[in-house]
Amino acid sequence: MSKRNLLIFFLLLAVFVSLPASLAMGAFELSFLEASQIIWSKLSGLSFVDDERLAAVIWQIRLPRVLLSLMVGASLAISGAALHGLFRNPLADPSIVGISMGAALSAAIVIVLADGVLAANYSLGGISLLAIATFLGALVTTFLIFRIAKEGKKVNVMNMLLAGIAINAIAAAGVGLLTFLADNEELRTLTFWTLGSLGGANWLSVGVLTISTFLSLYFLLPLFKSFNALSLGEQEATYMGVNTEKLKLKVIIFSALAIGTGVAFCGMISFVGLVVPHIIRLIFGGDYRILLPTSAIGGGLLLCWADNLARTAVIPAELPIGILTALFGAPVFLYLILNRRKLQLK
Amino acid sequence: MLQVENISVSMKGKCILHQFSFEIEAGQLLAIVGPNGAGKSTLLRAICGDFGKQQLSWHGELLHELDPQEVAKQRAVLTQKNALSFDFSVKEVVMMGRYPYFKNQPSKYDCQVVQEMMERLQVASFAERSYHSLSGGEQQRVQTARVFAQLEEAESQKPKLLLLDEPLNNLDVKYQYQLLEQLVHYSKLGHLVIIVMHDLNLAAQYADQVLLLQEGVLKKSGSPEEVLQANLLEEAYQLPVKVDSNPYHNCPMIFFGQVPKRTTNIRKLKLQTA
Repeated sequence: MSKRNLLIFFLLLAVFVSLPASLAMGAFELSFLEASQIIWSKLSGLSFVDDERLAAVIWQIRLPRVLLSLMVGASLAISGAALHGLFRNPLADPSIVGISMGAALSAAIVIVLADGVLAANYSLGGISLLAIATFLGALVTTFLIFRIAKEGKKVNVMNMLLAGIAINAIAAAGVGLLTFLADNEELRTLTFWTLGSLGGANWLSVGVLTISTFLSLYFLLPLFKSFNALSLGEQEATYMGVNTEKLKLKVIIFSALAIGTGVAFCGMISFVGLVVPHIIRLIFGGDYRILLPTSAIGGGLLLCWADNLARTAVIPAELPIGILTALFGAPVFLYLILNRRKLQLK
Repeated sequence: MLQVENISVSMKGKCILHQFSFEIEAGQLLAIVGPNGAGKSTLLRAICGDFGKQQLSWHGELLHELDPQEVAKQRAVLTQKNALSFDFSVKEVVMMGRYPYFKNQPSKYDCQVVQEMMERLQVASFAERSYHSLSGGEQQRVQTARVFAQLEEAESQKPKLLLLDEPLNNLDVKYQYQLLEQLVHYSKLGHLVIIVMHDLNLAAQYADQVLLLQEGVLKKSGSPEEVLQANLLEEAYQLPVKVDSNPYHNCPMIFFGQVPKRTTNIRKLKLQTA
């Protein structure tokens, strides 16, 4: 088995162990075995679990939440890896290129101006107004950045990065203004939203996220050769037969989709998109053939365990997950930077 | 045969190449020479099709009408840029040259070609090392191995087009010599090799054809003997030039700069005594 497949195998194994382990964790404690049993009984249709209430907790609350964390983590991390590759810049991250801040602005508009009650209760096919507005915010911002960076038929990647930073600043100012206008209740909602939470997980959000994540994976994973070639330079990649304009379009569409849906249901979760691809790159090198799939699985794992901690650390309350992804990810990242020489290829 | 017809390139209102035309048969090594800013690299990029649809045909086919993937199999380019934005192993960089040939998994043949090219450019001994840890000359050789790998096609008789922008950068004398020998050998297999270079004596020694550029215009093209003449070079480089014949190779030898009086005297003296 190649290094890549071996790595993917172990990461997937970690996911399959993490799943029941995460289900077992929480205010309602049960063992790893019991958690596995409940899942098995649901899937097989055989009822050998006595406690219906417990089964409901697992099936209706915890399982969607754990699955959501895996999906959101995967989509954030793979978009991060794709954006790094496209911008040929290790700092390009959904939050730096302005997509998340654009989403945050539209979320803030809904929370503050459309009033908390409306935001929470008004929904379209079960999806809240807040989620829809956020998703649209992410898309509009991406489109704006793309439009600004267009020079004739070509898209200037450097301009795209700079436009992202400018849009980021404008959107941040907008969020700031809305924060100023907000009353106490709205302020609290807004603050928690910007720190992210998986608390609203249900089967609907899991379904939407699964579709968007797998769509992004399906279209981004085969692009590994183009990303590798792009690290030589845009011109150089063209000489190797890569259609760079098509690549830019694909990356932008699918990372906006992945980030947009993630942010819509879970708020802003920072750092996953930046740090996961970097950690993997520092350990296993820059080859996108390895980097793209492992980032996706690694991102899912990171968010899953961050969320486990978020909901169990201060029972019965919950920590905002954004705090934990940064607390988890940053020290590992720092460690890797400091030990870069030892870790890298000989 | 490569045919370039009436290529003009201007950037920000400044004309860099003016109505440039030439044609050259495959199986030769063409050196593009000229002072800084003469448009050498621009000409090379124009031949790559960087400036939109130009009248460029390679064996009767217009390059911009072909599928980019197909073009990549026929034409490889080594630019002056050899920095990588992310780190890769040497072997992975050379493997990038094979990307036009496989979808997901490199074939056995792809791996063979990579190995062969790494050996040809003498980088095989550090195949697993990180590209960023290499010296400038080593990086240059790895990139050269990559472009060679890009043109290797199993059972193909098609002539290929290899374009190199100052490939001798960072190389020591030994590797400069080896690379030029390899390029001459490659051109003799029926391919066309075009090199932008600064060292006129190396151009004189290795090139079959030379293009001398000055301010975006073709000053002279032809064999090294025809192009590398003192008056032409003096005009192009704005520097005193002496051209002699190379005592060891059958080609011109160029000396730049004012010849100091004393040395001429010594030489005259020697000649007189002899």
